[in-house]
Amino acid sequence: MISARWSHVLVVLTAASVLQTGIFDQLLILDRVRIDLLVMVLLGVGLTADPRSAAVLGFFTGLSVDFFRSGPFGMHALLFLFAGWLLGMTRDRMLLADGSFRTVQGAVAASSITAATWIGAAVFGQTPPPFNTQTLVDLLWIGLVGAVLVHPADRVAQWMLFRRPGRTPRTDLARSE
Amino acid sequence: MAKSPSVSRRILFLLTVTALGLMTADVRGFGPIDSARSTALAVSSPFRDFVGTAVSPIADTWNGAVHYDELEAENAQLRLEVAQLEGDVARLPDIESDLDELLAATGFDVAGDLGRVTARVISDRQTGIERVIEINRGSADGLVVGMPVVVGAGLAGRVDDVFADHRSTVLLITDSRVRVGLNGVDSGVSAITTGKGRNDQLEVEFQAIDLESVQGGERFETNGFSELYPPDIPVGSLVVADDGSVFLIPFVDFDKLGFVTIILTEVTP
Repeated sequence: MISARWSHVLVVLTAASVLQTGIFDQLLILDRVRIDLLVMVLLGVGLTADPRSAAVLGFFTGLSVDFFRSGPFGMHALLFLFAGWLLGMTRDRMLLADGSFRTVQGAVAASSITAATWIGAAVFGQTPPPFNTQTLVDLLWIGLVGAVLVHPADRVAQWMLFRRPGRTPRTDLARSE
Repeated sequence: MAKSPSVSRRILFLLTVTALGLMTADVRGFGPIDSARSTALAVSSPFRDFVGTAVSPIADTWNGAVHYDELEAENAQLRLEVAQLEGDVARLPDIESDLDELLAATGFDVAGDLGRVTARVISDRQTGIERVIEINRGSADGLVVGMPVVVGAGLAGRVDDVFADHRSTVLLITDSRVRVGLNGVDSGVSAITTGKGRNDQLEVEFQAIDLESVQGGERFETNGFSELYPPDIPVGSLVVADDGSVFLIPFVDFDKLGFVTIILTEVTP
């Protein structure tokens, strides 16, 4: 049964997919780096929700990616599932993180998720970017994007996860289903 | 409320199995997955188009700002290509004209099995007393002084001077130094034509006394009596003026000599 929260999830994932494929896939930084809204959604969710909720939402976020990207359908769902779960574990250990540390978290998480996606793509027979200095520079840029966008991503994640901003997080998302 | 670790692991396991199942099904070509992807793309397409159109000025501005140098270089390259294309378009009529002339020059269909060489007219100098046509074929191409030069319409002249491996000059039949033996196609009357130095007329000197059978408009061709000109090469049509004088109008348009064909006759150099 879809609760108000799930309708928010649906709205966010749909909007992010449309904006990603309609706009952000065409906007490249330095001709190489693409802002990936769905990775940002995963970032926000992973750093806001508990591991189980982050894993479930990561799965559905990845599924949204799978609809619009090439590669085996379900690959991003699997990768985002574990990425969300790992981020959720991180969040559990850094609940007291202040804003600046959150920024660092966002940068590291965005680069890590992207790198994990590339590695996963290679594992599942896709062609990832070559591993060289330029790729590392790209990951730094992606980290910078993550650092900038982690705070708005947090707000979006809160809108998806909590009934009212500022209230105690509902971390029993999976059980509520 | 605390969550049981086993429940989390179970959910993680179930979603992992689901994802792997979807991947396996997709790799094996499970139709509904393709349909779902297509449907998602189709349904979202209008929204994506709308969003893309709405923000395209922003995207263009972004790309313009980020790639300004590249855009400038690309712009310069495109300007160069446009200029080249405009040049090509401007040359198109010349190319078409060349092609027509080449087809006309090589479309000659008499002179039997004799060899032939097609040449391009590379200069056409007209002085007060003569016209010098220079072509890009010479001794290396087998040209010898005296060989007939034709175009599709008929006889144009003969090789006048072979002065290089790939250079010769041509004397047109309108030149007063050129005499050609002819036959009337209808009457069979023999004649000799001589150039008058003008492009539009050839002097005719009939060999027969009875000229009643000769009519204006009759077609005259080479008679083959001379070793220089094989028989049956069209030369011109007869014109009978009001004052009774006769002359030939050559078939060849000497103002459109782009290419010519030299018939490799057995001419003693």
